[in-house]
Amino acid sequence: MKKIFAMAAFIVCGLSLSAEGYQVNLQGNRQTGMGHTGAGLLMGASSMHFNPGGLSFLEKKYEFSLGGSAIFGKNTFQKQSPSTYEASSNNPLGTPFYFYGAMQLNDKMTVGLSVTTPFGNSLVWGDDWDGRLLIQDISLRAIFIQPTFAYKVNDKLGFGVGLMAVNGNVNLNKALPVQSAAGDASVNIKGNTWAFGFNAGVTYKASEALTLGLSYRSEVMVKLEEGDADFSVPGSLAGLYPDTKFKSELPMPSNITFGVGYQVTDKLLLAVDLQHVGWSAYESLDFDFEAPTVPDSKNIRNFENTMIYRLGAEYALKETIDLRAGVYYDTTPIPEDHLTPETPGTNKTGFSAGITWSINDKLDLDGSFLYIHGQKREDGYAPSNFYGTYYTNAVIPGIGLTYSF
Amino acid sequence: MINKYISKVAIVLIALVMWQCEPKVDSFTPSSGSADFSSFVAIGDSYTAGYTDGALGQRGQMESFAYILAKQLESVGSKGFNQPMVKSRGSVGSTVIDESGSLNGYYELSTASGSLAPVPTMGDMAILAERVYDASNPFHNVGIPGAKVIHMRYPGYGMANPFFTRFASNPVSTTVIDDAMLAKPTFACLWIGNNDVLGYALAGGESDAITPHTLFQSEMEEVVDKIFAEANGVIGNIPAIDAIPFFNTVTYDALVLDQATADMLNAHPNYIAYNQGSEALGLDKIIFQAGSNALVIADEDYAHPGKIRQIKKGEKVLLSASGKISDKEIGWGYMQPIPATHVLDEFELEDIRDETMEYNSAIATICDNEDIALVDLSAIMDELSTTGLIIDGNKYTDTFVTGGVFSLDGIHATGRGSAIIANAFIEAINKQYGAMVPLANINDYAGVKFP
Repeated sequence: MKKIFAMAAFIVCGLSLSAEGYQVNLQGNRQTGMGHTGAGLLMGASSMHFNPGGLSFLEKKYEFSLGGSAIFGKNTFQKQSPSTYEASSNNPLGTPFYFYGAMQLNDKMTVGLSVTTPFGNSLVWGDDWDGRLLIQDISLRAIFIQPTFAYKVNDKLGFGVGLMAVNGNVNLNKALPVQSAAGDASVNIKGNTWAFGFNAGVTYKASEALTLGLSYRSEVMVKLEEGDADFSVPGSLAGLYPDTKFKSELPMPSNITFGVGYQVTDKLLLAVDLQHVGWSAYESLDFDFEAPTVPDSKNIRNFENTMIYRLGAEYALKETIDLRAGVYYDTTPIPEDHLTPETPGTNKTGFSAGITWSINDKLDLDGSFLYIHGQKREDGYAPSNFYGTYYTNAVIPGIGLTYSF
Repeated sequence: MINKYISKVAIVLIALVMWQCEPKVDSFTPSSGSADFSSFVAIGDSYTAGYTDGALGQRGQMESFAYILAKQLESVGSKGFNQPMVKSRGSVGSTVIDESGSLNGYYELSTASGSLAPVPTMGDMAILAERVYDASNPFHNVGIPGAKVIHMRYPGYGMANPFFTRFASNPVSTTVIDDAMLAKPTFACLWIGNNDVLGYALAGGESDAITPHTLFQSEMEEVVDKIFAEANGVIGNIPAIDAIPFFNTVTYDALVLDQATADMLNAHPNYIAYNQGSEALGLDKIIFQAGSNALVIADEDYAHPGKIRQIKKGEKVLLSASGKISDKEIGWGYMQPIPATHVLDEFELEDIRDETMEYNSAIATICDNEDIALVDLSAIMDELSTTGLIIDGNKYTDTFVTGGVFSLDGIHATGRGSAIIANAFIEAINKQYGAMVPLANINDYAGVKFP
């Protein structure tokens, strides 16, 4: 019975972006369960992503954590009234994942390695949908590999830094405003490259019950020097649109997060995070084609910095079971008249729940569940004059294992 | 126990996935407002008929603005739109006829001549001889290529225009308007008057005639009285026809010469003699230079006894002259003047513009008096020829071949151009009648097809 349900859900929905812009905040099932708080929490190895300062307070000598999520999301577009046109994205299932491994070198120093996917976006609107001249489908994924070092100054204060090596991958298709008997011309754009950045954080245990954290993750500008553009155009225009290389760049924006964790009772932990995302780095998406006959493409984005407000709670039901719940509000970086179907952002509210089951004193099973409701947004992209109402929903179950000894 | 608990939670969560992954959409509901669209009839000229790429055929008939409009009206009560469909898969036109008289089918883009250019295909003359009238099934599309407003009430117009003969109830005696009333329109769309200036313009102002605006107005009033006696409806005004690609693709300085050819022409006895005359009369000389030159045209009214001059910026050369300009054996524009039949000079253009303005003020007055929706196609044409129109990711301009709106004859619309026109009609209808007729998706229709 369960299997049938799961299959049906799989068919109905697909992967979509889960947070605003193309940031994916699903880098730890425990944090996800608590509204994705974490900067002020001591969550072991996964602190490397949320606040590397917290890594210095690792409880055991070794800790490994591995997990992933499945984003069942759907975007529906309803064309600007009066119109009966509606389209829904039919997105492939994708799975953001994380791996953390950490080891205490001595009382003061801890090292670790994390592999995370904090940015990504995968949307398939279809080859023939009405907005095909803006985008047909896009797949964007960044994998962050981060060696991390944390230092515990004393029992109250720790800090950490990480070096981020980022592998960015993009693949998108869009139609071109030229037709042949076979239909619209189109272009495929793809590329893969490496870029680098860092993160740093500090954790301060103000008292037995109160923990404060401040975390910074630098912007990473992913610069593609040699992408491939593959044009499918009518034969008579093939000379003007040869397959060519292109240059482009896309920022992975900076994050500054301030978090507070407060142990209200032995059983109840509360957390609050304020997260600032430096989206203003995303000014435009430009493609500079090598072939001189192919006109360069400039696409204004003008994203704005955003805030995310997070609240979370953890309740120790019994020795072996922790239950979690959380809520957050994620504001959109996309200003009016700049909303594209490639990143159909809107203000989003997330409701989460989570559980950890301690199978034994070394192994924990972590589960989380997140429901994201996007406010319906009636807007569009002025340079293309493509307007309508976008609806966004997502449900994201996640599962992970933590092993420590 | 834990296992049981987890599986219960899993079922609840999966049920949540099922229930929540599809966003709830507030669907759009079309409405007819105060209008009755049950019998929708379109009356007009080649644009209404679906003439495109220089000919009439099924493809264009299924992408005329009138047909697209009718399709959108289906959701608000229109009960069908019967068109006088061409029977064959072929096409036939009146604007392209070569010496053999057979190359009058659709233009197609072709690289056959070495560069990408529109070339006419074989026409199907049988279309002009066929009879598609059926008394039991009156036509809702009464669009007749070449028709002017002064033809609408003309008995026996079917004898003068084979495109009407095809489907007139009685070609010898009926009028266009009488036939339009056969479908008992409850809602009518009228876009007529383009040819009242365009016929003259396509002849370079040398034959045909602009319908005087006083006559235009009185005929229009009669036509409107008849069509809209029982029906609501919408009327389109007349765009600036001199902005279409047919009059703007060959630029005034399209004559590009190298130094040797310029020297050769300047040394030609005819030009030496002409320039001596110019000097004596105090008129402009014709001196060629390397690079762009203004084309030489015939002008019967010019003060110089040679009756030729260089064309001025702003005056128009017809698209139909382009072949003979680029043909070095013929050499229109420098070896011999471009005939006046292929040129619109400043006076002819002024007449066209003045009369078009008068037509449009007459149409506006009529719409105002009769409470009929008015479509300002003139404003859309102005936008197209200045800033261009950006719609759903594409920029449309009045540029020939690549602009997206005009078909390969440089006069009529592509499918997408027709859809843009249809949407302009829908917006005017919605405004006038408080209706919510859904707009057409422009990208659903075809533009110029490249080989």
